[in-house]
Amino acid sequence: MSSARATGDLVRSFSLFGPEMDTKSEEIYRSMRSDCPVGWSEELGGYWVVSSYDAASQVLRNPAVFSSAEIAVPSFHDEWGPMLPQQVDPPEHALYRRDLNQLLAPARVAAFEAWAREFAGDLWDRIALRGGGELKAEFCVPYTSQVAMRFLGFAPDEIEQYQEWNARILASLDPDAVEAKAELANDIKPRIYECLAGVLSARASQTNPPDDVITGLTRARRGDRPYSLDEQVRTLHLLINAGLDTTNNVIGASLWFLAGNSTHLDRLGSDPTSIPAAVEEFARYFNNTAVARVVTTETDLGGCQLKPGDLVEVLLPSACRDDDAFGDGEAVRFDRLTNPHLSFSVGPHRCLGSHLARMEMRVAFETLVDRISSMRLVSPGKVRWESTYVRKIEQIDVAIVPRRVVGSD
Amino acid sequence: MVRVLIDAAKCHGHARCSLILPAVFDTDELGNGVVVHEGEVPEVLEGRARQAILNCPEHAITEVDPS
Repeated sequence: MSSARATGDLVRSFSLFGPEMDTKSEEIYRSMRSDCPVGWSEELGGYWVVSSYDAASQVLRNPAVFSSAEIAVPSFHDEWGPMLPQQVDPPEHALYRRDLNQLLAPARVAAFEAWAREFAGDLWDRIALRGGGELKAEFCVPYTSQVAMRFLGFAPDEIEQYQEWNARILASLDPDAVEAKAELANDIKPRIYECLAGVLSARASQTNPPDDVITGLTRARRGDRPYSLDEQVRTLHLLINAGLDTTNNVIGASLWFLAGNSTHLDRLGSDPTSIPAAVEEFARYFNNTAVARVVTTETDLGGCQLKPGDLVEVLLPSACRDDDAFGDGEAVRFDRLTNPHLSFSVGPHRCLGSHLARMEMRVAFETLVDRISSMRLVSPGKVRWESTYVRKIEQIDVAIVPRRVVGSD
Repeated sequence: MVRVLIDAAKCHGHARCSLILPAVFDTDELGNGVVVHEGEVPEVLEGRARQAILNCPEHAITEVDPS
């Protein structure tokens, strides 16, 4: 059997939820990119699988042909209606995004950086004091959830509940999770809605409310009218969902890599000015999201004829390692000068939280190398694909050598 | 001296350019890329300006002949 034929079979039976994705995703993506960058999978009702950088960019840049009315395979529709603004197409999409872009613009993220730095520093100090720890539970989860939720404007005691709800939402995305889906729809989603509507309503009637995203949403406009409370709830829900898991996993994967590759960690320690480039490289290398679109009009993509109504799944983790776009794409290189990665997507749906995510990553690494001179894996962290399009490392046990004795001054 | 331009229709606010070369690129209050000093790039920064062009995932930045 030729390799192209074998890859054809690979694509025909491809599913992100397949058990082989736990351990073989990198080689599966490599084969698909080289032999069949656009192909038809017969799984999950049938859909196009896009694995190359070039084809992924074409899909994401062309919302008139590839609509966001569908954003996942299998098709996902929230009982609250289209997810805002993720499932809205241009030109209406721009009306929703304008004020949101402003609320999550680089300058507003920069104003929050000092808080994030202090929080990250405290977490590293605690880990340093004990000579190591488990980085998912002791750093990634508390850091990314506290920073994202505090940035949005939630109170510290509100955060844990949303984390728990978010875990239920992610678990329910598995096509086989029938009970979890029912529980989510009947019990959890109504409670989330009520909670968010309560937070937003309270904020809208507060005198001198804090200058944060929640307050901003209560005043946001969609073109010539204000966001309705329902639109505010749905948008805030999306911001929470998007903010809690992706950064947690990309920072986790990066720390796991640094613990296993001391030359890379030493490079960041000896030259912290290389950290911004490392952030882009880790965002590229450990991209952990797949996005979908639905075809609106007959079109050609990579030599395939796509028809209206066809679902298209864009495998960003594969596109971001494409050798045709990134020389030596499967290596982590902090000296990469050209790195136009798609980790925050491209086109009008560019990740709304990208500036926050990038700041979180940079501050995590800066505070790490400021306090820690070496770090090694105690047990090789278990890496596996979760059922939710997210590449997840379950556990990162490390031993570390602090740069200085903590608490000695 | 070279000049750079950002195509506002293509820019979707990744801010890669302003992170690479803040002396030439900035972001507006919506987070979209803008050039400062009319996009004029001092000779010593031309290499980094080209790096900003190559790293824009939207291909929104071009180098233009200043004359």
